[in-house]
Amino acid sequence: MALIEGPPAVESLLPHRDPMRLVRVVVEVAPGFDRIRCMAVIPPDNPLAAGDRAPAFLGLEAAAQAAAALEALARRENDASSQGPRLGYLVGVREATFHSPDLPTLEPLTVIVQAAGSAPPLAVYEARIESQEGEVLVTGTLSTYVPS
Amino acid sequence: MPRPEPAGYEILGSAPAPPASGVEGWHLSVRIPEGSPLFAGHFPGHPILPGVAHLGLVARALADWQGRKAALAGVRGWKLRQPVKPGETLEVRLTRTGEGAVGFVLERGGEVVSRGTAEVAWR
Repeated sequence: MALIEGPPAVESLLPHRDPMRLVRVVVEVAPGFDRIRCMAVIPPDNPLAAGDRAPAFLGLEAAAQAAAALEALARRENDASSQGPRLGYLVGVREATFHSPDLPTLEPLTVIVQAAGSAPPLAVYEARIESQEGEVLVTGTLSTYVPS
Repeated sequence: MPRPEPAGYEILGSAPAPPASGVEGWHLSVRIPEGSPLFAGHFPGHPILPGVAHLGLVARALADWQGRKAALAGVRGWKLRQPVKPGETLEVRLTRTGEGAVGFVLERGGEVVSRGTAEVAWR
């Protein structure tokens, strides 16, 4: 009987914990580990949230976490001994547009991050965040730094 | 006596940029206390102020400057140079750079921790 395995638990990929961990599920990873689709949810007790809404720039944190998850999965693929999450930092946003003034809490958001270049330990990603209905909420280009 | 804002920081001062500076702007001074909810989960055992919290401070300074709530419509050329840790004091300096845009710099003890340009949508 074949074992069925789900996507890796996000807690094993990211050092973030509630209420700042926004990425909840890895939905899809491209075979070359250059693209990831995640589902994120902003918890209402996130310190930047107010009731059922949060500022749209919080989406950049979700994008950074999705990028971190992608990097963690790529490390695992290249080095089986590299299992635990690593601290990484958002170090830049070349440009970002907040198509909506705020984001909902407690509603699933789709976070799509595409690798756009790297010079390790730095990497650049194109990010897009969509609502359940497919409405584009946040787009941007961000840079991360993951020290070895 | 400053008190922790519900947002997790203490406001030490919020005022127009000094006239002698020659720029139209605003200066917000805040302290992020140890135990602030802004550090919760980011990261356990290694608390670092999330980068997006810098933007939260920019939005707060904007609201103080204009006397009304502001939403950021975008950000450009934003570079985060230094991590911010619990107990540190930040100076948030805003300057008007054009219609609907403000430059921002966050400093700690005279050292730039992040800077960029925010596009503003007034509410």
